[in-house]
Amino acid sequence: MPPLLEIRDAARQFVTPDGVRVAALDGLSLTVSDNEFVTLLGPSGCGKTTLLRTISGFEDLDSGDILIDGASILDRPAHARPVNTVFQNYALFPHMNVARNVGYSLEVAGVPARERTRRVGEALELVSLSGFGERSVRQLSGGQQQRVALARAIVARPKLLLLDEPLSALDRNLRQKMQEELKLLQHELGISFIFVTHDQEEALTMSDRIVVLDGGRIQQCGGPEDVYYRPANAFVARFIGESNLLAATVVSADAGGSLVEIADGTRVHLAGRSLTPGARATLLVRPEAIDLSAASETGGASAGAARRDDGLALSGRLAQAFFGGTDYRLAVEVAGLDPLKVTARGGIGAASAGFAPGRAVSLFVPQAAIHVLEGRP
Amino acid sequence: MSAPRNRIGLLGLYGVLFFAFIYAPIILIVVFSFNANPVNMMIWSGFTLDWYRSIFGLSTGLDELSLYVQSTDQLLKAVRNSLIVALTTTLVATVFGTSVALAVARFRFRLRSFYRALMFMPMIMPDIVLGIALLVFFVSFGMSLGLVSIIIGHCTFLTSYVFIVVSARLAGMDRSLEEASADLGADGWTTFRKVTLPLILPGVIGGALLAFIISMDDLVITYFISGVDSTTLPVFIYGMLRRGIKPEINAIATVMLVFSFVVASLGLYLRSRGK
Amino acid sequence: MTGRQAASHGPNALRRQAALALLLAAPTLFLAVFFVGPLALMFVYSWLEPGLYGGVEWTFYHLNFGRIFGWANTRYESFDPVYLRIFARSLWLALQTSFFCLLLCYPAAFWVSRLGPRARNLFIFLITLPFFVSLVVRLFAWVLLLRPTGFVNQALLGLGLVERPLEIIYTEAAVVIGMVYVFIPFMFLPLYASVEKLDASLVEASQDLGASRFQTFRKVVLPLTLPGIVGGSIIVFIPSLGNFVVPSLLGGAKVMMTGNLIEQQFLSARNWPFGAALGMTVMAAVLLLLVVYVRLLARDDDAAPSGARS
Repeated sequence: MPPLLEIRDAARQFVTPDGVRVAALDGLSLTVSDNEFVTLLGPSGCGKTTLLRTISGFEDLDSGDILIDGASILDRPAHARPVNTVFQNYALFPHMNVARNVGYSLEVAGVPARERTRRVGEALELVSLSGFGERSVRQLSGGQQQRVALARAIVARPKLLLLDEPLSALDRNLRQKMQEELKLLQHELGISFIFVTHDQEEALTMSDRIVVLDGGRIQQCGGPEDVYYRPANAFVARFIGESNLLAATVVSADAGGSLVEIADGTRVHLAGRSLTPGARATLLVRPEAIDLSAASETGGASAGAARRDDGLALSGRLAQAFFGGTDYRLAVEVAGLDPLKVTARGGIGAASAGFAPGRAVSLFVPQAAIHVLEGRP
Repeated sequence: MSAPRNRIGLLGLYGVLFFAFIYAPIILIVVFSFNANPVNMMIWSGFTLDWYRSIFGLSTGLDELSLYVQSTDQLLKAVRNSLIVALTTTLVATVFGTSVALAVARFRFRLRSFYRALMFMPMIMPDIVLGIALLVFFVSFGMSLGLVSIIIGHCTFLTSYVFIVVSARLAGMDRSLEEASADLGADGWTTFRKVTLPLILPGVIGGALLAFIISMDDLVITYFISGVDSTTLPVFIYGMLRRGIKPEINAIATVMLVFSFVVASLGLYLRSRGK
Repeated sequence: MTGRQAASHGPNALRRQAALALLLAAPTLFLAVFFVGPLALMFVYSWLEPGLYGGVEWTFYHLNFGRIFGWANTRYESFDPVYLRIFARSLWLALQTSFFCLLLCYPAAFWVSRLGPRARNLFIFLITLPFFVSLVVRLFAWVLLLRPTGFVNQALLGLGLVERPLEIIYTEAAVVIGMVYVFIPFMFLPLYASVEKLDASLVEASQDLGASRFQTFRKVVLPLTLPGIVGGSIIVFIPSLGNFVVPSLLGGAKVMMTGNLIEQQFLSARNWPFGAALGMTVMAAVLLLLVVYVRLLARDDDAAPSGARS
């Protein structure tokens, strides 16, 4: 059975007003299956909105193909494609009330009025807006408008729902609530969602699969844990989550693993990973994976040596500390390296433990928490 | 600001004078249209409705010499001509102006800035130049001057007025609304009918009203391209004024004033409702 | 996405081209024939020889312009400085009109901008309302006011300020008054648009930084409202320059402007090529002015911070 959506080698160029040709899509291929929540994630200008607009039919491809259920939809105009979109600014028709907005696709498809009323009612119930049908869309709050846009896009049960940064206009609390609701709704409807965002947290929370885009190309495609813990390259590592990227050189390798050396000369043994001796590599260390302790608390020499074997041990000096509520974000200076970002747990005890700048600290990263990227950052 | 209230006060006083300058002449006409003095219009000698009776063809005890309107037919004919021209022009110019505005606002094509410049041309061109150009054109190609030539002439520049008003409305309209409509299954024509047109309608009506008023009032261009039987109201009055001033004209002017005020207020009302 | 341009192919592009053709076909045809055509023909006419009895000879003839600008010196056509004088007067009167419109509207724009939103809308409506009143009617009001037996003279005589009625009508002053009156809405709207945009906190900032009221006006208010001042002046200047209704009603035979001269050539002298040449001259003056204006605007745009562009 063919996948729900298949994009083959899609390419699209734009000419900027200055006459520069920019590739918005650069030979991109992607498949989306039934009942899947896929997020297109990337910085602005990465091609994610262009990709969405070529699927919905607002823009043409220069080359490549887009298939739904195995049939190309490229020669079908936007209004004849079995996909619906939730627009970034909602694009609710200001001259129609909520019910007419939601029922618009049924109205233009010639669905009889009674059937329409029933289905509009159902759709409004799904987004918890029952009884809002007669309201003017101008009277609604941002969150309610968002729900109306959603109801309007699902009322005709498209095979695929496209969402173009739909939550970006909402405030933080509402956004988190809507993230959960959207995910539940997707589950309930069994419709595949393609969700565009530049917010990595949003992507991690909601997606079955995240497609990280940059420069019109897919940088990585995988589950949230995959892209977070095992980024394919430095771009993904930097774009998703906070990261420390340490330049390293492979010293030696054997059956048990590889020994690598970072810029300040510290070496770490990475078990189970075979790297080419002499090759350059980048070690990714997430700030929350670093154990931090006061230098004086480090135990006896033997204990230290034992720990050193199964991870990366460094010592440094606390440069800055920012309190962020659930945790502290720290910057630690280590001789010979760029300052390291460290996240330490908060709590009432943490304040008294003191993250005073200038304090000498020991850092330890378990080797399992180190991800190796090929090449220099 | 040491004395803001004082400054507002001075400005306010100025504002009052400014409005006096704008409205005093108009009010004067209205007041003196009820003046019974047939010799000097500016000296009040009692209230009368005779001038109104005269222009509407009712009998008055007035001396023939103090009247312009020997027969109301002439005046009515000018009014009728003006209405025919204005209504036809409004229809054509509104369709043309709206079409071009839609094309320029919603499509990217090579001649886009050419069309925009073309639409601004009549706005920056002195009326008289267009008037004589049309006269030369019509006469050279053997077209007789009459209502048709006036309508054509009015359409050439009123298309621009409609274009500008509708363009302003289109510029304020979110493009994603049309995309949303297409996305929800409406084809181009349905989208235009159900989304675009209702949303730009206040602009279209505003542009049409503007075109109607300007067409009703146009003197310069009409003056050059009207024929013997196709005199419009402004041309008619202009001719009267050039022959000398008689009190009836106050009454005619007042009727026209009331008409313009009503149309303009209607336009404003529609515009405020459209927001 | 507006700044970006897509290559024109693909199914969307085709459909859009069809819709575009549908929208543009009729207006394009109409304007090509009845707008561009007449202007082109008038241009041609201005270079043709006038016929003996009002017609035109289809031969190239540059003396129409020669009569205006001075190189005509034949038995039939000779340079007459009166045309340049009339042209200069038109420029001068149009300039005065712009100036006085500005003088009247600038404080009024500030006044209106400080009113509450409802009063503001009402007053803007009231200022633009006369625009919708018949031009002839508005000018007639001034004929009534300015005539020797008119309201102004009656008032002056009544107050004993003058012994005999003043000659106001049929002077340049009367023409300027009439044009100022007629074009006030043209000046007010662009002026108001830029006055309203002026952020009050900028004025406060300037005063806070130690500028006097005059310095604030000269260094902050004036430069920021300059687009409105220049725009409004041009919008008033253009129709004033070619005007013929106002001078014919308020200027009579004494104050002739280019518009009246053109009218005369077309409707009484029946020298169309010469009239066309006069028309072209007015057009050229207007276009020249606009080119200068657009250049100035473009320079302003370059100087402005371009952060808004994405």
